Amino acid sequence: MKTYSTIFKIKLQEQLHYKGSYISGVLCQIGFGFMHILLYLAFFENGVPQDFSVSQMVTYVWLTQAFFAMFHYGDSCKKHISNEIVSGNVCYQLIKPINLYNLWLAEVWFTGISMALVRCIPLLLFASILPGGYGLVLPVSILAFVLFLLSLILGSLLIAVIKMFAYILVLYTLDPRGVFNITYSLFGFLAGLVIPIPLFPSNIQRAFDFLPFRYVGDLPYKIYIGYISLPTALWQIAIQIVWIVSLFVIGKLILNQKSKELVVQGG
Amino acid sequence: MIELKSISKQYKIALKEKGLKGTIKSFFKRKYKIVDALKDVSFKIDDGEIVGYIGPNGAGKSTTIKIMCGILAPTSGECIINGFNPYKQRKDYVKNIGAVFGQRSNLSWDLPIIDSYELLKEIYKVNSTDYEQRLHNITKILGLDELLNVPPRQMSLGQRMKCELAGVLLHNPKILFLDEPTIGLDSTAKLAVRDMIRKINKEMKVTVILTTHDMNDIEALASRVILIGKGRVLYDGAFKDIKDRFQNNITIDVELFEPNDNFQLDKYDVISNNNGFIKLKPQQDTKFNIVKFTKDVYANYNVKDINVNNLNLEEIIYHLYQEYDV
Repeated sequence: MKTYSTIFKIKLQEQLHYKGSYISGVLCQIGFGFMHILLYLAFFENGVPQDFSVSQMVTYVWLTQAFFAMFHYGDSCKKHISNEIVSGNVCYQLIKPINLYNLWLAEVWFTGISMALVRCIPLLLFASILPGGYGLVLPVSILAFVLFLLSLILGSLLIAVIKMFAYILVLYTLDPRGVFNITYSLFGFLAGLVIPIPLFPSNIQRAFDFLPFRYVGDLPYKIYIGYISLPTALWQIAIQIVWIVSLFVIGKLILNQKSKELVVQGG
Repeated sequence: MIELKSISKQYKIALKEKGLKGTIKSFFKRKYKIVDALKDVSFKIDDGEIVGYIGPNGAGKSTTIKIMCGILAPTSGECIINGFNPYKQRKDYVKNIGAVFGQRSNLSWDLPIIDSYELLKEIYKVNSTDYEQRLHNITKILGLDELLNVPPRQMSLGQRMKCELAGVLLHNPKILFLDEPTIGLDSTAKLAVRDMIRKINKEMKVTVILTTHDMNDIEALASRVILIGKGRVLYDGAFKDIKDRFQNNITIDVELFEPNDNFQLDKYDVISNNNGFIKLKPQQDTKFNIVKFTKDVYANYNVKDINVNNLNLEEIIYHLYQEYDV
């Protein structure tokens, strides 16, 4: 356990290492927050939806921006682990008494969490002092807040076990570019980042329910703003857990098998 | 103790045919070739030895190291190291070994190396008392105090190599594999790294297996060498014996006060004779002895200067490679 807390500490340190990157990241998220809010406000001029108030929308946008890094597909780990594979540095990981899947998963997951953790604090503070209905509001209930946190953490773990399949693929292709281009587009589409899921025909929407991707980002924010009821929230969190466990087991089995036949080329 | 018994390793390599036609052909139907990287390699290394593992590029050095580290399974043969089968018992086995690959890095690029060390401590589950003590010892022996809070990106290559070496000692490995640890270093850094390796071996009682292309590394460190070429062990023994064997490949320059075209010396061949500058070579079964040689030559000629050209190590290895046709 201590191994993983140390990895977390190191990932957190790495996030604060480059000040410029940190500050520009926060500013960028704030800018995007305003853009999204103005965009949705423009839509809302033709009539506010019955089940979605303006303040819910504003809060939803600020939350997605605050925790953006957590669900960001191409984070700094992508470069780091791909480099390890391409350069053959992975041989150092193979001669350590630690499972390669666990090590990489910890790195991917903790990178997401620590990136979001250091960026969300100034952003949430900023958003909560904004006046005139542009600001973040408190969660609907304490229980909703607890479930929000739980599904947020689980969501970041879920995207990490999904990303692990991309890294496993890179072990076969030996080049990260194609793998990440394809999986990134696929992920964006299936998670509803390209076209929001509610805009798909209803039978296709039902198909999305049977895929893990929609349980990654959207769920925690919906719980926070009270868009879905707590029993529904609990049910969807259960689905998150089922997906995490099954993708973890499958990914780990494949990587354990692959790392046995891995040949690190060159001298 | 390290014991390899007739280890062989074959790689399957995709054959590329030349030209556009060949590329298109192999796009649809790829042909493979089986390449023998190692053929029937056997040796034994005792605890506490420093062994130089040498051979030309592509001889199978890295393959052997990878097999001994447990990251590659041999096609046939048996490798037993300290009672472990490295490949099959990798997770338990790797706690007892350390490896430094000269061309790769084990340290986090942006963080002070002490942070990378803390992570290694947790991965190898070293308890804090042992860790503090070892870190103290290692930094003292290797002189790293000033580097502990510096990230690798601010270090020179030589400093980084020192830190790589220190990092791999924190879990107290019994065996250390060093794959070209002095590659790319300048001569001062090379000396420092050699000094470190010697201390690691002597003071921490670590068995060291060293691959390198720098023969001075071998001469400075290894009493025993294993020479490998085309996947076979060609020579395994004391480094001194190789040097003795090439004892006769020296040349001697003699300078006379006055030119003498008829210069001759018993048991020595004259290679060249230019205006009083004479180059000699001992005959096949002559054992060169500097005292006897000097006496003989002074007795017959008016000598101004004598210079003995030892065969340097690179040349010895070159001769060896030629002798074994690798």
